[in-house]
Amino acid sequence: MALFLFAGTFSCTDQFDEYNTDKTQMMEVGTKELAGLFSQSLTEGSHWQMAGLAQKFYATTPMHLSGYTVCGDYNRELNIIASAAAHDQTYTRAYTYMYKHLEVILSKTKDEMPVYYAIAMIWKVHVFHRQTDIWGPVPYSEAGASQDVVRFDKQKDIYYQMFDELRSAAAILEAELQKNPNSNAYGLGDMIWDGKVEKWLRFCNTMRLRFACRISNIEPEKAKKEAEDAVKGIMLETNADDGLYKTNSLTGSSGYGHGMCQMVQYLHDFMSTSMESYMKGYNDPRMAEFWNPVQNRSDIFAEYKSNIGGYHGATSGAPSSMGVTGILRAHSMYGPRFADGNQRKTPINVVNAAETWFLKAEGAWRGWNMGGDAKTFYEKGIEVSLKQWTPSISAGAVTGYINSTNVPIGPGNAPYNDPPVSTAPVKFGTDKTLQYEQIMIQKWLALFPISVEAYAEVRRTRLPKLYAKKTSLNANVDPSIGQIITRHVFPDVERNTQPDEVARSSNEDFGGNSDLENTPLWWDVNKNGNISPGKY
Amino acid sequence: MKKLWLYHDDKSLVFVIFKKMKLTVLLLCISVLGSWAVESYSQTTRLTVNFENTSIKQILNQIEEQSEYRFFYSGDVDVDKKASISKKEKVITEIMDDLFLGTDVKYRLMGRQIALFVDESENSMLSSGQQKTISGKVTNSLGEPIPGTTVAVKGTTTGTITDFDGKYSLANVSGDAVLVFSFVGMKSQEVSVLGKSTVNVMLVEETIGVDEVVVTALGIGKQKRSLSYATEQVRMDAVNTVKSVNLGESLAGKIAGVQITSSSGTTGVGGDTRIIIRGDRSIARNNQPLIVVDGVPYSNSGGGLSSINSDDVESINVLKGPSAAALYGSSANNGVIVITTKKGKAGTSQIEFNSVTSVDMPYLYPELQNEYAQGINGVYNAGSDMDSWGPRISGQTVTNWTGEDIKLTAQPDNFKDVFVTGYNATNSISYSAGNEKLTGYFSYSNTTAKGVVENNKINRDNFNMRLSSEVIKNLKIDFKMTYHYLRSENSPTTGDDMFSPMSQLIRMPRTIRTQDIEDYYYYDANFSKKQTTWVPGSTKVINPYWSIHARENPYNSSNMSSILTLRYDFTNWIYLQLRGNLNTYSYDSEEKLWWDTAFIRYGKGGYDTEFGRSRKKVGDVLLGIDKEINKDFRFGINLGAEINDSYGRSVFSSTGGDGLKTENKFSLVYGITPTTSDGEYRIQKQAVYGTGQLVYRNMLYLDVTARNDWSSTLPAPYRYFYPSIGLTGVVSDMFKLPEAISFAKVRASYAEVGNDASFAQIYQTFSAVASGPVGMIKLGSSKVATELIPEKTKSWEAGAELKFFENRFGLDFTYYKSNTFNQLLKVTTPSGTGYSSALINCGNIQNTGFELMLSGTPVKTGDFTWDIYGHFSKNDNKVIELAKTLKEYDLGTPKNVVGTVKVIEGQPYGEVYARGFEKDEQGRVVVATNGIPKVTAEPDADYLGNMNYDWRSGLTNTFTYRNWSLNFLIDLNYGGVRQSGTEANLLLYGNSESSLYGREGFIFDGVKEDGTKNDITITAQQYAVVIANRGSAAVGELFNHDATNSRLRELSVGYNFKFNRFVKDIRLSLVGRNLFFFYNGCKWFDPDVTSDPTINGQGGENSFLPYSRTLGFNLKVTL
Repeated sequence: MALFLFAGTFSCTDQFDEYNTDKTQMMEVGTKELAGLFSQSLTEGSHWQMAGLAQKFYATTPMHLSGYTVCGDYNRELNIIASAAAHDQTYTRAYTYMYKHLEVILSKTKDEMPVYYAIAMIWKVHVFHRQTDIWGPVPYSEAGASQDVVRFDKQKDIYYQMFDELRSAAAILEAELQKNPNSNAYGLGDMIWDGKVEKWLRFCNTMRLRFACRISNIEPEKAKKEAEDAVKGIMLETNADDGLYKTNSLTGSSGYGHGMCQMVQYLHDFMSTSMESYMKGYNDPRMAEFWNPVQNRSDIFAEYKSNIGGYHGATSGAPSSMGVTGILRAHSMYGPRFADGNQRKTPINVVNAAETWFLKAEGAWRGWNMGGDAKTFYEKGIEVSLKQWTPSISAGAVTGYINSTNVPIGPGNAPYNDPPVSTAPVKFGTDKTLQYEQIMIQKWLALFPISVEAYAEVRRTRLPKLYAKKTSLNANVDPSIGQIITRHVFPDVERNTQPDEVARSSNEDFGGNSDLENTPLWWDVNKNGNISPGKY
Repeated sequence: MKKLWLYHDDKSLVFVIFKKMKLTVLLLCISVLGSWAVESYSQTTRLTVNFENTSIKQILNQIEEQSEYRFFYSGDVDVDKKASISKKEKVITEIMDDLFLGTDVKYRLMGRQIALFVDESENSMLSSGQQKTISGKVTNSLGEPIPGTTVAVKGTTTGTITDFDGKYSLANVSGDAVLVFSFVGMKSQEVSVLGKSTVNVMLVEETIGVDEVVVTALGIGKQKRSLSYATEQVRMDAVNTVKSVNLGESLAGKIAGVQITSSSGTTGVGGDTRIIIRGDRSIARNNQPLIVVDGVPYSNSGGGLSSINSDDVESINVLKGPSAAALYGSSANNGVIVITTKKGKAGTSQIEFNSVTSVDMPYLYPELQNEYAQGINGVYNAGSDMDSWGPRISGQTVTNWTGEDIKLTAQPDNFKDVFVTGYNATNSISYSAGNEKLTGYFSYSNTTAKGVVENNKINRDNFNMRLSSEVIKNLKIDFKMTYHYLRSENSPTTGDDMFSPMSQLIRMPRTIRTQDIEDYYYYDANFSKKQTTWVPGSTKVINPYWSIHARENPYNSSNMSSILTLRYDFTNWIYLQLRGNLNTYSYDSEEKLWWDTAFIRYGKGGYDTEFGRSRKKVGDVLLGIDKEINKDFRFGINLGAEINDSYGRSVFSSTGGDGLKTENKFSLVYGITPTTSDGEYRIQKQAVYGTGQLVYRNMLYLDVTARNDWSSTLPAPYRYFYPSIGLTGVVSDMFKLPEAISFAKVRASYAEVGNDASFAQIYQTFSAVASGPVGMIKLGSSKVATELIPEKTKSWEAGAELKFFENRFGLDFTYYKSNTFNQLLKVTTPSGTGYSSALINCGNIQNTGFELMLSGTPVKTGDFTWDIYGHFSKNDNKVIELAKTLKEYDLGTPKNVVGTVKVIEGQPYGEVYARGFEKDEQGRVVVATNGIPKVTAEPDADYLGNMNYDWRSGLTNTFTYRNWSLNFLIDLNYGGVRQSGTEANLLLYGNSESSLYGREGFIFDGVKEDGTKNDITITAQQYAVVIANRGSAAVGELFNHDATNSRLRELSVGYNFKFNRFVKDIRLSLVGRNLFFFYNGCKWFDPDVTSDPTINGQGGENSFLPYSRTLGFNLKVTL
């Protein structure tokens, strides 16, 4: 009797759903949350440069592969750079932490809020072109689909789709700005341009030109058409247009801040001898901004004491210095703005306006209609970049640099004592080949520290010239025959969850070559050493 | 000799339960049966009989069926004689008087027992010799009275029953008579009264296993002979003599089929244990058994045992299979550990004092090299962080890191110097007393212990109070309250943690001198506390002494648990029990990191603190029926319902990633960017259940159970149902077996157990994060299961129990098979889905295996006894199926050990894979162009083995000689593998003995890529930095060990001082734990140590603390 009374209470499951609700969670989101979702997407879309994740990818790997830095730590080199197997985080976050939120925005704004929609689309393209430029084929057209197998698109198809998406985004924003020149979307939730629609349109057009240059070797016709179309619009031109992700309001574990600042303490990233050769040779005013002089520390080995106070690059792949603190500390690390402790002060460079001018210079050099000549664009790019890093630089100093006939010097890296990395001066040459090299050298310097772009351009053009690694820890890459790491292998997560799709995709895109670090991407037409690429 | 008593033991079952459970309250009930029943039952119970020319035997049987009267009679009563009788609604005496009117049969009413005897025999007895009155007391081996013992004069039907105090008195006993004392579950004893007027008797229990009563699900006591599944009772005596800080550790090696690993070798003194019964079955969820204390679910992990004072424990019973546990519901999927705690005893008062003082002496360390100095490439370098690839030590003079010119010498002890001898002082005192109305048990215990890392200490207080009473007739109340308070200081970290002393020692160059680093800090010119280190600012290695002291980690927890049980006996075969439990738990912890540990928050230290509290309420109601249908059949039914509601909150605050503004001011106020997070959960489960048992002639038992659960963690309709069925037959009672076999039983059972989900797992939610100008909104990265089904384990088992030579030897065998389905598993999904993982229902994990237990007394003479107890178990696990899209699941390994633990379809759970040497078709190792062997790119190219043992066994020997006793436990676990991250690191840094080979150059035995023999000389350093690099290239096989091990787990030598007056008993024992290994495939580390008892990927070693042996004294005083 009592039992059944008691049992009678057992139909009381009414409150079960309430019990099972986590108070720290939100059950759904609406328009009010769009800005917060966009902040999240921007943050995770910048994850290549975020501290906490940076150590897993950005600040070490592309920094190193772009030739900007040398990895000082033997373990890091081996674990992260040589094998490229530790990059799951970078790869997966683009979808799970970044795109998932953009997808919510895209679906909620598609019909009613086209400006929000277009900006979200631009950011999506920005993140995924970096993704495809590292791995090649990646899920794009089906991204976000909850299914057992998510199709990898060919890199070419991804580029074509991205061109279309940027073009339509540009059309939406142009129409909006005609109606409302001060149009704003996302407000402060846009941690780069505070919601200024005009900046996003500029970014969109610069990106279109960037993509055009990137495919210029493989699809010159398409490239020309896209480039000439892009320059009809407004682009990132002055340092006021620079895309800087602001880190100063980040808190907690979801906002690690600037990754390069985080990396300094790890003794992993040192200025490369390539960088030293160019910057010292050019007497580059950006040196003190990019790099720090060698600090006077008691633990520096006696034979390296003479480095103290100067800027010194480390030799890539030099086994003698790997992991030896007393040697490593005798080399330059990132400059003062990237010092440890500035994680939430220094903004993350998303895009530098100077890049636009070098893209135009290349276009003009190729004979595309860019509305000007290569030399003017080249010099404008240098000027914008110098002012970006040293705003107080005098006009004379800028001119002096532009007209300098200084050439790179030898880095004095005992015991190798390498010769100067190149003979190209700053002053724009007359020789067509030299001109191209100069554009690429200066773009490389101007892109700093956006190493993902620099790394892509190094692979596309094999410029600027960089010192080969002395030894490679990657069995697939032999620097002595000119090989470099041209892509990353697909992360374990994809190989484990959809092995058949990974195999199909790499077979299709790499023409029979397997999923290796030395396989060139679709737009990379350079032979990688003696390994013949699938396509030329 | 013919049997004197024809004996029906229906009520005796109840007696035994009462006795075994030490439910003193229920003993009150016995006294009621014994005294009150005499007056009331015989006077109130009215019977109707109507027989025509029926044998007396049949008439008596009928009366027995109608009532609770039981007849016993000597052989000379002619029960076959026919009689006629017709009575309506009469008391028993009237019926008896009428039935035997005019015969020589007399009767005597003793409670509900009626003895029949022939008048002459009494007369003849009366006439023979001298008559006297005999009195005395019957006690058990603990000196406790046994009420209800039948005392009979042998050869007669004269008899009586002992009273509540175990006392009896028999008048008119012949001077040469022999008294027979009998009580169910005890061996009957015959004592001659010759020359005595007082006969005190101590009854001893019948050999365990025959009529043993064990506490099963829901606290229901059952005769062990009736159980259709395997259980195992732990001997508490050994547990409380060779005590370890954590009760869980004390169970290691003692129970068949149960694997216990301890974390005290990693997290320091008193570390939690991991308990796995019959193999792992859950991939992503808990695999540990449910711990039930006094009928109430207490905890679902081995850690729960650490807060229990083992001196309060009356018995520990392990229910191994789901059949045993089916009634506990979902949390009992992995078996149940049933703990019954002590109660007061009526009529006695006793004080017990138990004191254990022991020391932990670290003695096993990794094998280190002492021949080469700090440096690289053979060159001494005082600034090398963590390399001992320097020159050979030959007494040369070098300038060391302190700037001093010293002679280079080996420092063989710099590793050991860091560790200290730990200790454990546990003192407990208990007092129990009671009278017929109220009994009580009170205890207090304190544990003060220190680990082998000098500032690692714990201090634990346990208070326990238990009161039992009979409020009104048949209504019993039982109340228990326990309070437990733990203070723990500086539980060390392991793995690659910066503050793990072992991890730092592994990295420390071998020639660093203790004298230079033991003063681990100094004050700089600004009076700032700075680390003494050979590499200031290093992010790779810190001073090991600094690692011990520069992280302070106080932790406090308290736990209060109260249980109130009310039980009302409607009759002696129906009762209703209501039980409520409230358990509150709270904890607070802090982590204080000093300034000047580079790498840690930019050298700015940090401070974290966490507070949490939780409470659990469990209420249940149980209706129990146990009734005889007729002479052959009896049935039992239990119907119950339960509600279990848990709720918890916690707050975590941290000074965050930026550290402290002010040096070593450990408060959130001084945090540069302090952050706070909190959490809350609530889970409610409701259940109704029922069990039924049908018994045929006490030899064939059929058991069924059914339970339906509703859990708030599941989507509507929240419910799941599971049944079990079991059959047991006592073969020795059914058939005549050879003389040697004294008892034989076979059993079989089948059960299903379901399992719910975790808290708030079924909604796809967003979270808002206060970062950035407007905050950020995040979506969970895991896709929730839209159609979640409860997990289910289906299992069956069959077994046999045999006793030989009058129960002197016993054997118990069980074979089992279980399959776990619908596991809720977080599987990694293609990133392109936008989710990194998804929760899906999948899988079929199968465990099959057997358990064998042997017990015996090979030698038993007057003074000397030798008892042995052994067990052997083997579990075969197989992953029959994972998921449609998933053939392999990574369990991961804790703390960056070499290799990964996997669950792979078609293979056993817990397979370990790692990188290996790259080999050509002929199996030869391929070297790269630099002569260094190539390592496979795939991180799981090489199979290393399985993390579980193939089989496990243990053997306990107990010798007693007069007052001496010697007890030791040896266990042997065979098979399985362990990987050592420590060894990989030691080799990588040139610190291990294994790094000595090839220091001056060697040619690796392999082939070049073109197939020609390798002829390139490399150095040990060049070799090690590749093949010992755990992150990317460590060759697993080099650091893989056979986990087979056998050790002297426990030893005690004791002496009992016997006193008669104030002090009843004093026992002093010399005790030892983990004294030495007979064999250890892992050489220097314990294969039974885990760095994280809560995760499923086990088997890896990384920076474990040195293995230590425990030696001490145990003093037990009973007043």
